Amino acid sequence: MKTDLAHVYRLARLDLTLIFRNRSALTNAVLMPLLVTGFLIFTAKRQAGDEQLRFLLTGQVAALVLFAPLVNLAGFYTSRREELVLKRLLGGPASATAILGGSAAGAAAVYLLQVLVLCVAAVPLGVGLPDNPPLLLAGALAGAALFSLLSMVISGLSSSGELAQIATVPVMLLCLFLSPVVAPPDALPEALRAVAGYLPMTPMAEIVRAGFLGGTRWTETMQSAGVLAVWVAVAAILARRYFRWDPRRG
Amino acid sequence: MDGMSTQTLTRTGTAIEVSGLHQRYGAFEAVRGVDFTVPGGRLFALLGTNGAGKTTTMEVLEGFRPASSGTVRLLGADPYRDRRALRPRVGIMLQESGLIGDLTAAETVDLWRDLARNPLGRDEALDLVGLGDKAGVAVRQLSGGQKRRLDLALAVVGRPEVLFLDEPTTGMDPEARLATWRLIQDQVAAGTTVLLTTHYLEEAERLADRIAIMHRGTVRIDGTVPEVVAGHGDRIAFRVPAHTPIDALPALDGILPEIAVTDGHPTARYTVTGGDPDGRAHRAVASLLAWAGEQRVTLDRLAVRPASLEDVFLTIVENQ
Repeated sequence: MKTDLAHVYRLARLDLTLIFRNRSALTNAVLMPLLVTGFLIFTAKRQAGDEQLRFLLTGQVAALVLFAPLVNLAGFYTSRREELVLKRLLGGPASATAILGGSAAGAAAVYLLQVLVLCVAAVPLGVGLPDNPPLLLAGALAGAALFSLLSMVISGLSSSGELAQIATVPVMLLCLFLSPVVAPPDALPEALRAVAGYLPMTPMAEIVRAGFLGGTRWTETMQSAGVLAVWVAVAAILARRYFRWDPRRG
Repeated sequence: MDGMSTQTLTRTGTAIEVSGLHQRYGAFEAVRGVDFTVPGGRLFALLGTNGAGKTTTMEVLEGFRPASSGTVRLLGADPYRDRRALRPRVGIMLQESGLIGDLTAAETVDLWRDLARNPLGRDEALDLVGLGDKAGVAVRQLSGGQKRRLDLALAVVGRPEVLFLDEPTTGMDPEARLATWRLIQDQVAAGTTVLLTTHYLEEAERLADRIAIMHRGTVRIDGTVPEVVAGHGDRIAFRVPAHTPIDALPALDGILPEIAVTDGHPTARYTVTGGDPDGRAHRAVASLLAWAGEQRVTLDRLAVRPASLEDVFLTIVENQ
């Protein structure tokens, strides 16, 4: 266990080195998400009320999880599997869990860094600092774990890093437009609202927002946590079923 | 030095045991009943054509997949189920490198050192494989042979008790190959058990205590190199003398010659397999020379040699 944690730390460090060394990963996983988020927030600041700004900003704190731990990680897992990097590591002292967990931890670190940037930016924007930082952190970490597991599933079904990233796009769009991150649930038609409640991003966004803004009843938060836990369990089972260490190409 | 006691143990015991191994991928059976054992501190080479089942056998031993049926033991444990305990004691070099192109050679070694329990030093590991001067070079800029050597450094950096080398010298120039052979020999001399696959028969002859030749999923022959070649006869060849009809050539030990044309001359080749391996070449040559004396002919380019590993290999691959 202790060895596993040391290995996760070392492999997470490796991934961070590689993200910051690879210009396209740095752009796609770190900079571009922050730019898009910044653009959305400043547009809201100018054109919408405080309530919408608070909603959008806290939604973005959750939605940023779709970049490093989903899109980029699915690409990383897949391209490394196809280049036999994962198998080479698996032949070494690190366990399968430590190898996959290390990359997931690296992606989570990038995401938490982005969350931190938003938390700091929230002060001059008038939203203020998070009301309940431990709850916010718990929601962010659970979400990072969930989307890392989903990226393992998508990787297992994709034959190249590029295809894996493309395969994450529908998941990302569903989460962005149906879950309560950009638009509030009552902006959706009745039928879609029911579906939206079961998307993986919905409970995560609710917990993160509850942690940031406060004022949510703890029964509601527990309900969101329950849905999120079910999602984590399902994603873990699917990851176990579909993730592969041998390349898909012959 | 804390590896000493375990290495002494493995040198006396059995490091690798494979018995009745079958490995299926869906309907395809890649390995169909393989048995062999490797004593600790020895080098065992698996030879065979592509698709013979060498890599599959190796991957079962490396713990990448469970055996479909049969038993495999590595250092007395189950390589798949006991992977967690075995991993730190084993070094693996896959057939393809799986290195990270964006890291330098030194960073790559450092990664593996940090994952290992009791690793070699960075410089020590790089010097072992002759890459001391490439420490700062990005892996993607290394040549194929240099990548192979770096890969070998990663396999030995954790001071393994058992080393799996899947075609370790593919893509190396002759000098690097010689240096790699010396490194492998040093590992064995220090007590490491090595299982090696190779396409280079010379590599197996140079390094292996024992070899096995695999073909279509089974071991067709195994033993020491002299044992393996002994069963495949001695070769006698000469140019057929001018004016001697081919059907006038004698039978040696009851064997008739095969005739081939080399450099424009018909050449007779005998493969004598009967009788005791030590004296049969002498007896065959004696009766051949007696015949030549009677016929008053000279046998140009007369050559006698034992079967080579290549002869054995080709016989197995072509006949079955």
